[in-house]
Amino acid sequence: MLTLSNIQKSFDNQVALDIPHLNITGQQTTILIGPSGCGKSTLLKMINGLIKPDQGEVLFKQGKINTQNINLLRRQMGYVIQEGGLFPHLSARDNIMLMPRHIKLAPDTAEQRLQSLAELTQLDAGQLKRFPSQLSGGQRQRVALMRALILDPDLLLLDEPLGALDPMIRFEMQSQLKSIFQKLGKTVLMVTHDLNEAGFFGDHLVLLRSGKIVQQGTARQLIENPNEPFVEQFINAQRAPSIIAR
Amino acid sequence: MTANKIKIFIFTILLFECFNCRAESQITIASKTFTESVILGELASQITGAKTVHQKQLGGTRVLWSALLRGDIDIYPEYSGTLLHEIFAGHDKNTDLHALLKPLGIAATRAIGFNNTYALGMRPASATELGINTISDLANHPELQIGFSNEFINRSDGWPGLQTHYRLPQKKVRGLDHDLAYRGLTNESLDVIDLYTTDAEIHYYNIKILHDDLNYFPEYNAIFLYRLELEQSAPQVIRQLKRLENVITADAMTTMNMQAKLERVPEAEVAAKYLSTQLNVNSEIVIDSRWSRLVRHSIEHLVLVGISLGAAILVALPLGIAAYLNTRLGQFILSCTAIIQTIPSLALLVFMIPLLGIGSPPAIAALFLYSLLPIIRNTHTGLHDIAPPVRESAKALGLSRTARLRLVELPLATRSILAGIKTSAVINVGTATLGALIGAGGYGQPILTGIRLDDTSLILEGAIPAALLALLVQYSFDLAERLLISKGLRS
Repeated sequence: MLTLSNIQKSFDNQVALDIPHLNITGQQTTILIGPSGCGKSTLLKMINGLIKPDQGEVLFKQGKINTQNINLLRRQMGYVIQEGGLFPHLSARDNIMLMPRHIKLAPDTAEQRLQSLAELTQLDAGQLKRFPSQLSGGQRQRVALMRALILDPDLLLLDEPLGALDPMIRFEMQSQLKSIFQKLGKTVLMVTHDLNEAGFFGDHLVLLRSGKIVQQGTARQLIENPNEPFVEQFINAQRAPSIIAR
Repeated sequence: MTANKIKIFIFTILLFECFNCRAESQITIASKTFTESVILGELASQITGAKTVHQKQLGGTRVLWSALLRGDIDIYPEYSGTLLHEIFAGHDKNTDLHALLKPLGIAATRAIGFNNTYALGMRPASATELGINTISDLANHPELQIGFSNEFINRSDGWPGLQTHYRLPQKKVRGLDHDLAYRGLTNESLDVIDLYTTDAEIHYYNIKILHDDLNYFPEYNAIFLYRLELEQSAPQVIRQLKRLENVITADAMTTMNMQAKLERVPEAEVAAKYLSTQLNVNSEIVIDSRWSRLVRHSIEHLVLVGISLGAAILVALPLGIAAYLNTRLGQFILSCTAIIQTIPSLALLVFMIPLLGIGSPPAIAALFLYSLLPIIRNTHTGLHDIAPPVRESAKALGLSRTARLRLVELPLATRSILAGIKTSAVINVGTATLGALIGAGGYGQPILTGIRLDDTSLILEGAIPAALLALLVQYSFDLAERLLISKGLRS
């Protein structure tokens, strides 16, 4: 589905990414995880062309991403960021329907998709009429997800999609999102810094540190066979401290 | 984009041209911004008949002179002294004026009778008491309190020259405003003041003019300047104009000035009365009612504001967008418009005259330039301040650059852009009153006349509608904001 090779990227002479090779398998959920500043968000933005690599190439469905084809390819990649990035001047519905209208998708088809996605995300017609500022954080993220999915993309890119939600809603949204991913069977690439969330969603985890891949595999593999001390440190740091003293 | 810009450019040029054109056969008479000149303009306009129009109080000497040279106006009243001392300064004072004018395509009538030069005046009672009749007599009375207008004190042909010429002993001379000098004289805080020999106040305050016995003051004989070609194209008009030669005495002119300035008789009426009693010329004059003046000034003002603001929006929006899309170009555009903004409005209006003549076109051009900055800056700021995640999301959806601008960025910047247009519009309504200084009419016209005649009700006749228009503009933009700005951006 997605192959990155020989990727190099620096900001102000500081290496941000250095990835000789990374393959993202189709129809499963891959998690990019690591501490802040490890380059996971940069990597995600490189895939949809928001950031250009200094060197190397990104292949999407065997085609190289370049400035000519990027806008067409972006329409096959849904993208959701932490705060949703919804357009405040448009209602939820208009946010979702912006692209279908822009590319002149048949209104019936678009409407059908909207309905089934609304069912999936459990948003009702009244909520869809509201403006982003009139929605709760969780509702906004569900609208953002609908907007990302409305063109039926092959790939879904999620940058800390639940990062700004409070814990209760976050927990609820995690299980909702997982069931949505399962129902849709899409390729998902998600960025998170939370190992529990990563283990919950991810079929495959990619652990990054200072722009380099440290280890990849399932959550279990990472926990049971850390291939260097940093992996172990990262995992231990994320273990919840015991609430009740033994 | 480029094709659109060209269309806008051509459209703007056409608009200017349309305002530039005048009916071929029409002859324009202009006058300066003081009452005597306006009366002389009326006299010329009425005696020459229906083919002429009078552009009242069009501007100062420089504005009228260059307008005459350009052919924007055809006739205006001038003074021989002004020609020699200002326009042809540096030439030998004995040069024949006609020889200087002819190569420029300009001709002058003979003196129309009176000499409006500087003079010194006193209260008759104190003059009689002290036995003062001439300026020479002042030499014996060093104790007299003297107050002169500031210009007179500083001009080489004013007080410094006068003092040397007559060997006057007075050391202390107070500088003050010309209109206040009359009051100082009547309440006896001053004994001697300078005046113009046809000032309306001379009769009103019954002032004794001291005889210039040593012939110090130059002659300021009133004449009419006209474009030479009129002798061929409109001989009838010139023949009529020349009927005023050697006719108007200083007394008659002073009386007319007094009627207009102190009795508030409209200049047209003053001129008509003079022509019918002295030259047996009966002219039909139409004195506008307050309402018809208001309507005319409103239309003129709205034309100035509407065209300049409309053109500014059409040009400034694309420039603001360009400034946002290209940072370096943006800095250039923003600094250029900021420089324009620092030019004083009066100076900008005067700069426009050589390029566009007089009347509405230069005023519209100047107002257009002034309206650019707020719109460009607010467009740029509005676009620039869009939250990065929103901008990034628009990109990530796969929208092209233009689609991003149209669907996301411009709608989000609407509030800021509208605020910029509103600022421009309100400033424009105010600045447009200055258009009257170069013959563009509008609400500035009654303000200007009101200042000249010291008539508060006339000043208010321009100032109140201008203020109301500014408020109206403000409210319409508030309404437009409610209609144009998405509800999602208001909460």
